[in-house]
Amino acid sequence: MRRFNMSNCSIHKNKEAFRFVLLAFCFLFVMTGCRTSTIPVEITIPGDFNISGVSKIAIVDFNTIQDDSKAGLFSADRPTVSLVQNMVTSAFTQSRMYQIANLDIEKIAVENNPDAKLENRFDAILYGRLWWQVSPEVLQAYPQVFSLESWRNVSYTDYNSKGESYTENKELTTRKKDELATMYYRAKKASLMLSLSLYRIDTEGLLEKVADTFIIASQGFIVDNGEFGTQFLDYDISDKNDRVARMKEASEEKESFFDSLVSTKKEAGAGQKKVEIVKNTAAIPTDLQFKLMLAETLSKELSKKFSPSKIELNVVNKFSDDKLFNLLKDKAFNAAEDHIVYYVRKKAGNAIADKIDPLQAYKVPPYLTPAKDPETTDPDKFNKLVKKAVNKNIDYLYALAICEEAQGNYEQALDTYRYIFDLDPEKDYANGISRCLFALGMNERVQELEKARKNAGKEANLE
Amino acid sequence: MNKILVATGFAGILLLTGCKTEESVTVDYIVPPREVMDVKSISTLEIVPDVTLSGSAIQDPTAEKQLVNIALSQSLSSKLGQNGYIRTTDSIWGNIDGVAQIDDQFNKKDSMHGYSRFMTDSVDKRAKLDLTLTATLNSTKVQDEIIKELTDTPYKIEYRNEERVIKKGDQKRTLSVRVPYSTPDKSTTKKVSFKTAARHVSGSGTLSAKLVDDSGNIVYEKDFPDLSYSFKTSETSHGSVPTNAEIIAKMILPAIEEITKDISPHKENRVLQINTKGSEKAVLLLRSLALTEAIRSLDELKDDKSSADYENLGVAYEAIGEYLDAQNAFQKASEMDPASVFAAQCKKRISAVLEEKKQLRKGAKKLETQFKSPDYK
Repeated sequence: MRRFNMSNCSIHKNKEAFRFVLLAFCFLFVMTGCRTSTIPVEITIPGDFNISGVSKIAIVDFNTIQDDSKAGLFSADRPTVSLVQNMVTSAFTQSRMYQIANLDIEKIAVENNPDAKLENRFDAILYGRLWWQVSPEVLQAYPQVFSLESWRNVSYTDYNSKGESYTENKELTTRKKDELATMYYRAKKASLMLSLSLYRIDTEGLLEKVADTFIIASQGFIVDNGEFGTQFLDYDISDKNDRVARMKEASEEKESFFDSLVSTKKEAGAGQKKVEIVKNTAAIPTDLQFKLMLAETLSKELSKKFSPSKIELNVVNKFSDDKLFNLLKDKAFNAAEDHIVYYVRKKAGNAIADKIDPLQAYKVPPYLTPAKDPETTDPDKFNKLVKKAVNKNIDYLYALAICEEAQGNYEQALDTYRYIFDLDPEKDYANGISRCLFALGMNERVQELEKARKNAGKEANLE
Repeated sequence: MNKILVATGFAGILLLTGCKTEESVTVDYIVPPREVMDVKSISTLEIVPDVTLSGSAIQDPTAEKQLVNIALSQSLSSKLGQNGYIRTTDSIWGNIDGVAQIDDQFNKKDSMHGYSRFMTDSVDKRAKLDLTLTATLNSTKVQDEIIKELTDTPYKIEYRNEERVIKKGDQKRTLSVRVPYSTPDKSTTKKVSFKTAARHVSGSGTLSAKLVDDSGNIVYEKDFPDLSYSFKTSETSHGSVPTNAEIIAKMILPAIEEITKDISPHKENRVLQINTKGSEKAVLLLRSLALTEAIRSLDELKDDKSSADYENLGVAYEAIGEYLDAQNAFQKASEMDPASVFAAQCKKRISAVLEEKKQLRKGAKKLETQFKSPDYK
């Protein structure tokens, strides 16, 4: 046993204690942060505007009404306007909420079928205006300090364990020196402003403005010492959906400091810089590329305000069962459900598993060899055994709820979350309940819109 | 001593791993405008921008004026439209010429489609908002001097003696080895100046807003004298310079926000405290924003609810916009624990919210284009 003299005692004790703390940290690190992934769950949310009474939209040529051509170099040229208009049309078509009146094709259809009522073939018009501006290209330089190091190999004689001598080399620093280098860069920025307005036309032909939205987006490009980068910055005038942001925060909240070390994914919010470095080219894009990129981003963003869109929330996957973890990581939700049902039934036995509510919706796997059923006939004792089995497998039931949620079966997922939360009030389960209630509420709104759209179609004789 | 260290270590671990102290829930409210009381009288609004531009960044004043006019009116129009109480006229809606132009587009003889769709304008009375913006946008090349410190450290090579213990059976032999190592010598530092051309862009200006309701009365007037924005390419922010559109957007957005809040009912976030002494389940559900579920969970407690539970019930009702139910719950909490400061504060707050609602009902009607149900339901 090692002995310490009195003068060193407290230092050594401290060292031991530090070692213990370090070990405790390492242990906790391994326990809490070694393996996590995220499981995406999607929720459909309606657009910001409730466009009831609209089913088929005719898109009026952008920038044509009281043309602001005086805006000179800032008004977008005709090809740019067409490009953006086509992208907006495409975004609306992809959302599948509204029909887009293809004026040219319908003209032919009406010529072939004179009974079709041409005058009632749309009940809303969408009009957009856009302006475009490019900043002058910047060609400048900035200084950067590089630390340089020189070294040389020095030989010396050493001995191996047998006492035989050999020559060893050591790389030794001889100098460290900072040098200043001039870094050259080129940069350019473009801004696109796009406004979209939607007007409903009632059966009397009366126009009513139902939505109006506007966004300014800028995209900057830089070639910095041969490296290419891009920055996207948008100034969305409208309010963001705060509830969605808070839901995301609650669902994707890091469990611990260690989780935050493991997870690196971070989504930039509105108005924040989204910087993406790509090294596949070293050229400033052409104006056409600028326009294409900005137009594509903006048209997608703006069409979301009119039509339902999907948002993705990420649930932390930290299940210790390897198979379950990997199935969830790879989004194999049906297979994960099969695994859960198989596992719980095998461990708990069929008689007990039959009493676990969330499992009742799933078939008993045919290849299963379940644990032996308990022999007790006392219902209280039996219920205690069921409760024990639930507590033992609560992680699996939680995973089952996530699987249902990820597949859009919110009601079933909600029932399971409620079931496990009732037995074990945990934050993750409460978050699950919150997400499902939100998703169901949103679904209701989307259905409400869909119903209104169908009614409008019938009224306008479009369906 | 070591016990203290161990305890400190564990406390540190606890702190890092998730000892969180969230005891609140953020809630949205629709609140009445800060200045204009009768929103109905401005629910159809014509925005009339008047822009004066100057400065070295302005290449074509007439053209850029158009651009800023549009940015100004569209920004405000979009913001008001989002709130859903005030609708602004534009080149089509509330504009006979615009409607006629659309009609022309559909009725063109040489058009491919030949649509005929009778359209008419539905706007008669309107309020008018004059927005007068005076802005100076400058872009100048400046000489930038960056000072860098450069360090030069020579290293000297020295030797130290290390012992190698050689074991041969029971015999031990010690050999001495001269191992070289390098150590920094006296370093020198010099300051170097780097001169580079930088670009400085800036915008400053004033914005005045004057609102006349649909009966011709001035109902709102406000000046925003300090609109400003500045950007300089530098060592840390090298990159492209902002476009004029971007500068204007950055300058005017805070004022647009203010005007919107002054004249239109708008959304406001407030943080409501949760009483953590209440039912654990309800507290967790509230924190997770499962508000209706929290109400359900608290209702299940029936007569076993504590004062803290009633307070949390009130918070949940308040968060989903059921203010009368919230008031009842806070009243109950206050009756059960008359000394509770928390319950008293909640009661006071809910009374204020109910008063706001009353004002809102009196002064404004939400347009049909917005969802009627509260956000949290």
